[in-house]
Amino acid sequence: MRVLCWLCLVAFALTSCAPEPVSSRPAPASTLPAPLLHRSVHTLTPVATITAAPTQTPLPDSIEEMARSVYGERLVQQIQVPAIGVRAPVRPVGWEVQSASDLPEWDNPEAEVGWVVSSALPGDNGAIILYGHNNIHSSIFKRLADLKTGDTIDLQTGMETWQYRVQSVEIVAVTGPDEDLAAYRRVFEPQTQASLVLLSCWPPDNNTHRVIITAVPDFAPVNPL
Amino acid sequence: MRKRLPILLIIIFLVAGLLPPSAPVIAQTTPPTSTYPTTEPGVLLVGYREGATPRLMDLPSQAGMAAQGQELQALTALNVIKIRVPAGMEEQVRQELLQDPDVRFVEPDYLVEAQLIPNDPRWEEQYGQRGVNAPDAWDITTGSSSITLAVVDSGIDSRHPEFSGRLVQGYDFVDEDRTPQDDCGHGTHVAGIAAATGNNRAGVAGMDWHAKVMPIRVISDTGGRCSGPTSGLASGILYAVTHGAKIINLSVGLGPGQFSQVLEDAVRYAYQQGVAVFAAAGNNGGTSLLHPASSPYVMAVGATNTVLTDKASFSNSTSQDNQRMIVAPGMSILSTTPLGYFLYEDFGVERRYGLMSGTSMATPFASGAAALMASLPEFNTPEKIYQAMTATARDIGPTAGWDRRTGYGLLQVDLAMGFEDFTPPSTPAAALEYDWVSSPDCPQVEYLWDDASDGNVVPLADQDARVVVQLNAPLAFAGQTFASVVISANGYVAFDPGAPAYGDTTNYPLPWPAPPNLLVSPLWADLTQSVGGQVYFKDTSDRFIVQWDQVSYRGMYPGDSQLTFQVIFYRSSGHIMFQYHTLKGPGSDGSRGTVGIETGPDTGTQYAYNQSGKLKPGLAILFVPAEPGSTRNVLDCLFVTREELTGCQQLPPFGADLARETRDLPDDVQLSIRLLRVVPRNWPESFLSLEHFAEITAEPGVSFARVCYAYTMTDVLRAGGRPQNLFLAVSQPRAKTWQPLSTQADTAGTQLIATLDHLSVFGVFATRPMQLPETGAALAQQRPPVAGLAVLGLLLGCLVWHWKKR
Repeated sequence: MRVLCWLCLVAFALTSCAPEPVSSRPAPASTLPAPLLHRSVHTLTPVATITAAPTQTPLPDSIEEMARSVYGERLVQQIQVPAIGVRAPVRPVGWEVQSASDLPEWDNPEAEVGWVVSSALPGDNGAIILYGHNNIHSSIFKRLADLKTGDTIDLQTGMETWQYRVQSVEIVAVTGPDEDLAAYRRVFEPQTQASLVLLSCWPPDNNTHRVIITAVPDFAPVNPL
Repeated sequence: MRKRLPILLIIIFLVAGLLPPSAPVIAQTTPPTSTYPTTEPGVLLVGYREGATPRLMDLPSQAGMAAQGQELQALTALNVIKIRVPAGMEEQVRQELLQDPDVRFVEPDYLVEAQLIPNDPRWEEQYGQRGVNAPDAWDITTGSSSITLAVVDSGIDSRHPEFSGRLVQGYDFVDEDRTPQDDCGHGTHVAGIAAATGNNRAGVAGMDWHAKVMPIRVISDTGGRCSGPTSGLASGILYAVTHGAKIINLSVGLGPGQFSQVLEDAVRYAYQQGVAVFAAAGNNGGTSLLHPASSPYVMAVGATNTVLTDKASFSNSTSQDNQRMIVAPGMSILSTTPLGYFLYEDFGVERRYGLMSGTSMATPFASGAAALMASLPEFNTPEKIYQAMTATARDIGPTAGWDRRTGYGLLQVDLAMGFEDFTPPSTPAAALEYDWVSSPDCPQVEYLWDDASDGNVVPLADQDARVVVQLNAPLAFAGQTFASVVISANGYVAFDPGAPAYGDTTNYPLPWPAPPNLLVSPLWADLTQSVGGQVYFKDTSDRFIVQWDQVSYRGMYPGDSQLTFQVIFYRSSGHIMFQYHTLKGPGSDGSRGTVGIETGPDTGTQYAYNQSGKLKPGLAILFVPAEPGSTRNVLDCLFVTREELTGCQQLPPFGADLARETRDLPDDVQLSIRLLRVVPRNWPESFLSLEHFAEITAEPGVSFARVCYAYTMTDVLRAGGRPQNLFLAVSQPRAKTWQPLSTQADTAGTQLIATLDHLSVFGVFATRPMQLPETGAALAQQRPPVAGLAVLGLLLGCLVWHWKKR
């Protein structure tokens, strides 16, 4: 019996010290960069060799300011997904080239939902693309995969609310460059139909897959002005 | 002696009939391709724009893994290179190369051939020199050793005593060495007519007894005939020009109907460098001259019959009115031949001195005469030599004055030497030039078919006819006003009153020096109305329309093609619109035809010349008149300037800076920026296109330029929100991709700037992420609860048991 007990102890020790299962994806602990400081220092030194560009005024520094300046009240301000209890502000996001050798890094929407600035807006033909966190920084889209066909999604712009209905819920594996690229193409191929795409990682405690929600406009604006 | 004439003629015809290799006469009855190739297989000549550097590292991908370029040293003055491609892929590679805006033309290496008819020797002595009045000319001068006459031919037998002390160093472009030894017998014979030493108690007397002779070998015995590639001929011409020749004799020609841009560029270069060029009219008895005799920069020389009353039957006529052409004796000409074996010995020509016939033999009478003239100070330009010869030629042939058979008539060298009534060449400068913008790239140009088939039928007598149409109201073109126009069945409208009635079945690039020189050509090609086609015109108060309706390319099966297109002249604006309604059949995508406007012998705007992919149904091309040299913005689609360029804001959003103040740049560089919508969409997938493209060109080309693009907030948002994500790329047509340029984003000036060594087609792109955003991370895995609990339970059990035991 004593022997059995020692065996038990050894077994306990082994299980507690066993290395964690190795993920097939050598993902760093946190895959998103530190939140960007959008008020980056603007250098006003002109390029010496260019003699004339007098009519141009510098553009706003931040992506939010630029988006607001270009799209104004057309910007999506808030998203509501009643079926999974999401009600969150939406902010413009894009990507940044860090170095010539690396792929660009997507912006971090933190606790908000990000609207991809190169994608469509409500009323456009094309896909509106939004993404949010599932576990780090926030878990706003943690339950995205629980959506069912027919669930409603409301996007509120500065002028009106647009309602969309979920058409499909897809979960695709992204465990290598080929699958990464295929998933990117799947979402970012140019579309001619108006649609809404919500993106997040899956499962809730990992990033080995992506959940892709596709929704289509439900009628016209719910409360036209 | 006289009795032998009929026998001789029979022999000529026998030779002509039995020996096609040496006698292009045969080409009249059988296509030349049936016996011999007319081009070098697997070879292309590529001509680059002035100032552009031939770039070989990215030759056509698909077609040309095996394509290899070779810079021909002799042709660098023309910016021409020769490339080798897999045989059979020549046309595919040609079309790929033509996508490069720096490429002016791509053509096969045509075979040129000696233009002679060898025949039975021993008939008459040197009637030719007497026929052109050489003895009277020799009273004035017998030539000067300060003049060099280049015989670009099959070389020369340097051992021949008639050339003793007369030769200067030539070159052999056949063997690529410095010993141009003649193995045909052709070059030696030609050289003797022009320059055999006279009064030396031996053999024959040439036209000029003292000039230096530069033998250049470009054709050779190629198995029963004497021929060689155009690249060699053009190289030979340039060698002669750069090594001091004043006169060039070209007793050679391409096949009937062939035209070589390289050759044309070479003879033009010679002319511009002050070298007079004489070329054989051709021996197939055809109604048009062979190239290069057809070139406006040379003097074409046909052959007379033995009694000097008309042209010889084999000698080609010209199809161009007022072609610069004379005739000289060309039948049974006695001259020097090689001392040892040569090709034409097989056809009965004797060694040392022999008789030959052909326009090849007529040509050196004229070139030799020119060498005599050039020794006199007043004949210091080719133009003066040409003018003196044509003005003093003895009128022969069926009609008085200039005619198609004999041109200006029989060379009279003594009279030519006395000529002094020179007229300066009249090339009226165009008062206006034209810019083009087209419907796919310029939203302001819209295709709107303006049907004219309810108008008047142009009464064209046959498929090459032209008709003069009187206009209801005068029409302005190129700064002049016209009461009538000439409408050609072959797809163009001309305004020149003296536009020739025939000879437009071969289309040329624009501008082309030969008349007509006021030309509006929506599709100049050899067309026919024979398959239900018709040409209409419609003359209203605000516009004049000419419509070629359901016409076809002439050829074996005209029914294979159907073409309906129109040109609209807008009276008030002076704009000219080309529209293409139907383009069916091989070649109708632009690879057969010249599209453009010519405003003078050397001014014009060409949209396309035999270039595939340039025409399609529904295309509209608008030509807008402009003051030459002015700065203009054409409908916000094209910007042209010759002004000083400061900064980068020429045609928003694109600009270019040629940095004129710091670089050694000619003053009259013309910069053009053309916004494009239709471009090759073959960039890498990681490029996100912002759909902004421009073709930026400089004329002449530059080796340094800064290209700029003024970006907007919309551009930045489409690029992911950062100006630094944006970059400029340049289209690489031959590599079938786009090359990203090292781009500086000047956030203060909101400009993208890239510096490079040549201009081309540019686009604005952003780097794409190529993967979806990662919104989560792999969190620490929780242990499977069952195993953990079991172990914990066992452990607790152990502890309890342990304590109990105590």
